Amino acid sequence: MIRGVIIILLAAMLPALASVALRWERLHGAEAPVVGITYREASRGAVLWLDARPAEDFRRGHVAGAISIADEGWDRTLAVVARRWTPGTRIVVYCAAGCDLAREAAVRLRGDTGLPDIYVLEGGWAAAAGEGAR
Amino acid sequence: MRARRLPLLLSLLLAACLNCAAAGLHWIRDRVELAVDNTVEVVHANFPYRNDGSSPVRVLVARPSCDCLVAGRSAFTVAPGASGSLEVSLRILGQVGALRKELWVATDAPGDVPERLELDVTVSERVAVRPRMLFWTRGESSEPKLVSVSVSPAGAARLVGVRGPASGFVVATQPGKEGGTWQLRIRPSDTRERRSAVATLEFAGVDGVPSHVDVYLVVR
Repeated sequence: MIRGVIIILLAAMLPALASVALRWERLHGAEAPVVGITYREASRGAVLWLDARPAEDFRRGHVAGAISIADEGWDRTLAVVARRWTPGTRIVVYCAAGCDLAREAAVRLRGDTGLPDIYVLEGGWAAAAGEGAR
Repeated sequence: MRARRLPLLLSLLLAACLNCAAAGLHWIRDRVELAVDNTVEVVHANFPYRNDGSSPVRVLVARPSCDCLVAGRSAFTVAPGASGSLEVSLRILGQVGALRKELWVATDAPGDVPERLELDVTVSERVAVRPRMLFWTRGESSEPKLVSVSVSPAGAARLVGVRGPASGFVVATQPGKEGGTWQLRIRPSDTRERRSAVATLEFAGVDGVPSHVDVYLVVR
């Protein structure tokens, strides 16, 4: 009976284990795509927000504490990341919904820093604003 | 005879006037091609236009689908016979290769159809430094980590030195196996305490090559 229960539990864990393995590969593979994350999930822990939108859009509203890549420029953005990052911090990049710029910035950031836990915000700024992110 | 010709003449005159009004805005250039290095973060391009019609033309610029492309104006009026240009800015965030971005513009001229403006940018990467940040966690072994430097084409520039970092890190530089490449081996003296520093790679070369690139070193 106990053996049967253990077998069932292990079988139930298989999809979860496969998901972790796939996510690991996606995050740490050389050409792995950048993974999306929701605002709620990102906000659960330490997070460093990077805003990839034009500077005027950033000034109209942005996630509290976010860095504007357009305002800072890429070199200064890297310097800020180097200053503010700590182990366990998620870095989340966003732009307008449907825009590719956040993904491009995230890919470049991953190549430039090698840091783990770099994500793109699902739904972009609109999703964050909808969650009261200002 | 003259009276019978008058309606015909008036009709011809009216048709000519309608055509003049419909001539409207003419985009002198609807495609711009540029070549830049990827150290350039924002590219600017101008699309010149002229109003060939006899009436003012109201121009409406559609918001581009990509936040990376921004038009200098979203709406403007061009007087008859006047000319000008629409400036657009394209932000480049690390992409290398051929980029094509589009912007649609429309006018209120009768019968006018929206026009597509194209910006083609070829982005090259003359100096590549990877990665730009090295990090060690506190207590981690202070093993050296590698930074790869390459210049393309090989003779475009050379790495002449590394300025910094301040005490706490050791940097060793050696040429790579291929021309125009170098490897830096960098390690912290220890990882007991949090520390950070900047190593500045200095390049000498032809115009357009950046003179320095910073690498950030972090123990957290």
